[in-house]
Amino acid sequence: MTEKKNALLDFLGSTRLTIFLFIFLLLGSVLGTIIIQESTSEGMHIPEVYSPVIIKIFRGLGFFDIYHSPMYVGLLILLVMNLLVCTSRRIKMDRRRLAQEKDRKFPEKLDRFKHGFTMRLNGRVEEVRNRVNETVRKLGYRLRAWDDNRISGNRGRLKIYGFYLAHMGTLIIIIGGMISGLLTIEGILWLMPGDSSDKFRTYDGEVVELGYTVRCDDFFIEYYPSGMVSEYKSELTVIEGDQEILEKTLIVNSPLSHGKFRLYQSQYRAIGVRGIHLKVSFDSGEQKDVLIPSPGQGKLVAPDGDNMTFTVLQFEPDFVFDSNMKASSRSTDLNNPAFHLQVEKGGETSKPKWFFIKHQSHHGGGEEGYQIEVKDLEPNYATGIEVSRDIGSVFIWIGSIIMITGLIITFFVFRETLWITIDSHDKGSRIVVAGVSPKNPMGLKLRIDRLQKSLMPEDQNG
Amino acid sequence: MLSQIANHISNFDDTELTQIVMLIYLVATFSFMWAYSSKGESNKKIPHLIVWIAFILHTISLLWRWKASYDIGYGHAPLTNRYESLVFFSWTISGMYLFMKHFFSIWKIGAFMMFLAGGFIGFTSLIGADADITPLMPALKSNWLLFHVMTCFLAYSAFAAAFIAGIYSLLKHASRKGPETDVIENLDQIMYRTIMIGFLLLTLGIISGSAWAYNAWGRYWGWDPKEVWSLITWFVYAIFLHARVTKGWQGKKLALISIIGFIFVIFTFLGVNYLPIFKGLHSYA
Repeated sequence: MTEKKNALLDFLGSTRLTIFLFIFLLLGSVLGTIIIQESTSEGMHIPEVYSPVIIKIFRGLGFFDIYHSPMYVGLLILLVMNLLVCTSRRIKMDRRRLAQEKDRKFPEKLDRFKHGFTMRLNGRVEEVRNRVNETVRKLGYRLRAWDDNRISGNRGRLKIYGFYLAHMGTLIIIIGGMISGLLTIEGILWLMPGDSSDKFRTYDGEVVELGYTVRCDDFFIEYYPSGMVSEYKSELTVIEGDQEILEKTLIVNSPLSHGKFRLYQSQYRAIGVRGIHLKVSFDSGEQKDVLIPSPGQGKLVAPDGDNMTFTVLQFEPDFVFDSNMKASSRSTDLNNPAFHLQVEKGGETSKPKWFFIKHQSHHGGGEEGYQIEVKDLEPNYATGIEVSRDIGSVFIWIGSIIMITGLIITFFVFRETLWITIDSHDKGSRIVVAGVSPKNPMGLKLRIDRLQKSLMPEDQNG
Repeated sequence: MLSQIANHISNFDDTELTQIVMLIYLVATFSFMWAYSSKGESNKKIPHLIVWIAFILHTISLLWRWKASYDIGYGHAPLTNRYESLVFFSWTISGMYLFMKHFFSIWKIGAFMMFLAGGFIGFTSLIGADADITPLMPALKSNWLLFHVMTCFLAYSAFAAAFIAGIYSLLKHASRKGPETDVIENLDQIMYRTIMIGFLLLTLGIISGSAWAYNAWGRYWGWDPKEVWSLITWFVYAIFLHARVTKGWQGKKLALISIIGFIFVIFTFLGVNYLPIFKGLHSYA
């Protein structure tokens, strides 16, 4: 009975299991980057890529959302168990080892050690001993005096904690990840300049109260000379009750943390226009620019002295003919902007025409004595503010710090022991130093050399 | 004739200096090979001097480009497109070599390291990477950029050293003369130590990337293919470190893991962008 239990525990706590879990996690992760993932592969549609049979199999195995599938999560839970069992066994082992170390005797025949030296000195035992104590302490060893003639020094005592820190850090990170996966609330809040909101819609479609009101005072986009977007920012004001609590310019990489939520400048999109710039070319060769504000009309005086008025009867940001063959929009994004323009010249109203901004060739002719060209649209932008609350992240940062500390200790702290005897010899004394370091003989040698140099008489030192 | 030369000198910029650096890396490679074939330790000095020259010039070319980016008005470290990341990777390889040679005997893999350093610069012209200084997209404007990219590429360069040691180790295992235990032990040490350094740096790289993502997008992990592949690479080296203390996984198997690990590194660095479902969070690097 207990034997079976032990065998199971042995397996659960084994490094072999760790390796196998890593291999399977690795393979699972690879799958997630070659099979379309429902949560992240936007714009790719599973039915278009895979055959129905494969879809059935993959869906059954959870391959379309592999990182949240029972298999992947199960592997992580096994890894957590592996970590816990392994760590508890290690504690037992380390306790035993520490107890053994306490019972350890001062070794005989120090001159037979691989690393060390023997030296004759003029000073008396006590003098030498004081000097040795000081130097050895400076080199980072913790001293233990066995009797008047024997000293030992230990270095790298932190080493044993490295394992625990690295592994507990990992554990905390995994737990933090699971907490994030289960409890994170995230969504997006779309605001036009002037709009405000006290709630947002999560990606699951739920409406969540912020606990305060966010108002977008303005939104701008800055460009590089090449036309590439260099920055986009929203001027936000946070309002609690009737009070304006704070103002913040939200830009990418500089979120606002307020109340339970963090707000991020995430995206933007053009919704409608605030103005249309037109260029009117008259048959006489003259050209004039006109701006039609939205709402409003554009006006100019033609070369022949007539007053012209430009009115946008209808604007569609993403033009399409609906089932009744009426002009409408597929979305609010400026994918295929078009407007229905009526021009009045000298009291005469022209027949309204559709202008397609992306297809300039569709623009109507010049039987009226002028031609119209669209120069530019000034879009109205809505800013997309990512709102999220992620309690797990705290675990990630704490776990990371612990893990990194653990890795540094495990990798770069080494245990070293020095054994030193000082006896009186002739009129002076004789010192024998021996050192042991299973993992870092180079470092040990360096320190033993330093000790030796510090003991040399001044005239030999240079 | 004179005006041509003058013209050439006035057009001389960081990219041309980088090309010269590439040639010096190749010279360093040959000088290592020459030193291996001749006996005596004193020969080390010549290849090491050449590596130092290349490294210093390489550093100058990076700083030059950094300054040029400020002069244009973009103002960012030269770490933000494929050309720059390859040149930077090369720099971390030679820097890592110079750093590590102080702490343990890594001299045997010097030739191959320098070949890689030069090779990655050469690779930029092979794939026709655009050497223009490009402006930063808003998401990249962060103080994390330098730390994140530094730690990742220093990790990669440490893994490059482990990869070379792994190849040599497998060759020595297969050698007909019978295994040279000393050499193999030295190579095992190089593998172990470089992977320790690399693993720590990769961990820092992934964590700093998470912190950056958390600040930019509100999520520290988004299962973006680049993220996932960095985790996959982390798994491979975690396997190495655990295998080392497990019976039956030593010797050749360790060398094999360190070789596979570097293949994963290269895929994480250069290959991920070609995945068909790639979404493009890291499309700039």
